[in-house]
Amino acid sequence: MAQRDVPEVNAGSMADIAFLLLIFFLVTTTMDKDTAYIRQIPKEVELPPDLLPEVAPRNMFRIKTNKNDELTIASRKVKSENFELLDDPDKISDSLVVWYSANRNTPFNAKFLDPGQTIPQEIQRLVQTTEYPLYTLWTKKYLSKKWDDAEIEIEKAENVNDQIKSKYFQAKQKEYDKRKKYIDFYEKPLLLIESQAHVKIEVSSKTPYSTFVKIHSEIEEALSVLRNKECKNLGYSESYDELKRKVLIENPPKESDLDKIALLEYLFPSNIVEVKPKK
Amino acid sequence: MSKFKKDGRSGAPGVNTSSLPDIVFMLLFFFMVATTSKENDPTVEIRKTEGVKTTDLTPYKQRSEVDFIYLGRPINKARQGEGDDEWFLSLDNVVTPSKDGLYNANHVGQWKLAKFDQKPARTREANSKVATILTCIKADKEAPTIKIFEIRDALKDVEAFSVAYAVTDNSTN
Repeated sequence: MAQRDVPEVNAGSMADIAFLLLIFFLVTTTMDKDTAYIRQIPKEVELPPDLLPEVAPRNMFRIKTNKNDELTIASRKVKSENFELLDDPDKISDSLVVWYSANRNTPFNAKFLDPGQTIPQEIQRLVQTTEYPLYTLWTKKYLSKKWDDAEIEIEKAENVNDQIKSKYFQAKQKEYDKRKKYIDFYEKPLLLIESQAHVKIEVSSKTPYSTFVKIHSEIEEALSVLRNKECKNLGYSESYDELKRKVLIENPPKESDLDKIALLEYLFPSNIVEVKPKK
Repeated sequence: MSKFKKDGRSGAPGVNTSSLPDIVFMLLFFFMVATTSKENDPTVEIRKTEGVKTTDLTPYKQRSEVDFIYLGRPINKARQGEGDDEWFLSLDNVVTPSKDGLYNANHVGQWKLAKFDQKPARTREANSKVATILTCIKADKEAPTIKIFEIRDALKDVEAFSVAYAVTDNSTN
């Protein structure tokens, strides 16, 4: 019998099949981005005992869980240990925005930068009665005065060989230097919240992770609202959120964008204290 | 009379598609390279939590500056306990291996230091200490927060001060 030729298989459609598969996987795959809230665990620092600050109630925004693991915030109207239950936990960010910005338009040292001047009465009253953290206007003049004050304290501490105190004031001087740089970049005096002002998170040991994360989510939302608003005030073309997204995509990111973000985060710092629950 | 005879058949010549598979392969390789994969498969069950305005960890992953801890109930039914023993950590097997890769917070310290030794030399040089390398905690939505704080304390002991709480972003914009 005569040998028959084996016909060649047509492989022209192979590419089509491969394409089809590729496109199918492209469409169905969701690339899980890892997203998170980044926090710093506080280091233990040695503070000079006479400088241990007592935190005023106005400087704490307290978020606490109750027995049923519902979120409550410290009532600002009553100064005792009263906590209000919120009908909607999404409103925490709104209260936080109010807490952050209530005194921002009345910085309490703006009028008495010169030594020897007394604090005006209306400012004194504000300091005594306000339920919200105070703001300070940091001009270059005020900064150099503070810097010189710290220098005197360092000398005093060195004379009695008080290392802890000397270090404490040196750290302060470093902070003032940093602020000077920010003023140069900002092109106007810095309005800064009290350094003690913080958000305090008090959860119970059984509080589920989702509730814990909800608190952090509310804090981030409030900060983002404040920073976005400041972007508009400064006349930036992009909001804080947009800047953050931009530096993530661009490689390498623009130096000026990074500076803007650093400034916004310095103006509205996220000072968060997470209290370890008792067992 | 024409010298070149038409042979009757006409029509456009076929497009040469032999390079098509190459293109497809190129695409495939691109996605293989661009995708970051999970470091290890957790042996505990993680149900996700949602939040807004999160930070993207991709840049940290690209610089291998993040380690993942998983906190949840064991997938293996036989290891599921009651009460305090209900929640476990799943770490990559770098410390004394345990059955199922389940650990508790006491192992976190040595795990973090061992992870640092395994990092590429470039990362180790950029972060002379373990302090700046993120530890991302991926916890089940029902995991009690006391476990988170136990992990934090363990990390603090080895001076790893940066933590990240994993959460799925559901921001609207």
